[in-house]
Amino acid sequence: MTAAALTLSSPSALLTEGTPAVGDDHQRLVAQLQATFQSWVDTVSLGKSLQDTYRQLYGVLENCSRSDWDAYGAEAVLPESYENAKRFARSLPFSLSSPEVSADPDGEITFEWYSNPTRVFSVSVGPNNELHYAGLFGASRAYGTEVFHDEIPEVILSHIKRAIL
Amino acid sequence: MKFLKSFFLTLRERFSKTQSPPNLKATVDDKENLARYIFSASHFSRKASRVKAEAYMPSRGEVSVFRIDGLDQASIWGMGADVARKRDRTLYARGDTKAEDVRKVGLDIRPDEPPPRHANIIGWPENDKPRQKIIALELAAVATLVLNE
Repeated sequence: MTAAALTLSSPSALLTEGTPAVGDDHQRLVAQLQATFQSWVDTVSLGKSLQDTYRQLYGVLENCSRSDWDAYGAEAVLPESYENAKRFARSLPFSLSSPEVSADPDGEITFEWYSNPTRVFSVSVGPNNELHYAGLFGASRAYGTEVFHDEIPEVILSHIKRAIL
Repeated sequence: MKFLKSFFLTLRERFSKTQSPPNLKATVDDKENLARYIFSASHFSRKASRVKAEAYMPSRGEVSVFRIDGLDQASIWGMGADVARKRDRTLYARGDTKAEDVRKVGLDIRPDEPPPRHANIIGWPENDKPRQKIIALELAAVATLVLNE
């Protein structure tokens, strides 16, 4: 692993930063980066949190991929939501503790960081690029919607840190 | 014969207990206890002994609950077990709240029988997921987790 790689803040940065190459070179570069990313995930020190999140995500997909999974008429978790949720998890900074993962009745996947009943932050990821979030921070609260492309919006990262620090 | 008699007596007792008693009001009092049955293992945390907000997120604008005042634990779990059996699901736990906690976050409770003692938490913001989430977080913060053990 190079010093440059160590300065990256999240696994997804490895796949998106830098100047893109073209043609076969590009394909080879992407494959190498993905292999490097996977080796990071597989290491105990750097990948434990992400592995844990992936394991929870897979459990949600397994248990919530048919409608009415909650016995109250919930919608099924779609593969697109699962892929977006994986992308979201991959974009989280290494420094954050792993969230608890579950599903909403509308089929979106929720990531939650919990310290106590009044210090908790939750983000829902669906089949599109919207992130619906809400958080309790003692006497304060925050909620809203952000768009998710390749990086997690700063406002969401700041709320996560607020909930767990 | 004695066994059959005992069986039917127990059945009748269970059945009569979970029926809405005549004194159950048409409106829900603030001090009434409401149970939200939980059929998803990811909607509560055994380790932190808490109900997660996702358990209180609305489906089609409401959250289904049962009015449990005046019932013993066996009868409360019996109502949830009926739902689990009909839906072929596992009943893991329940979240208990008071009606006043629901009203404090701007929602209301509307009795909706059958089944007996059933009600819905209503008044959720429409098509506004972030606001639904913040309300669900506030409800979960005051809910008590009771495991089905």
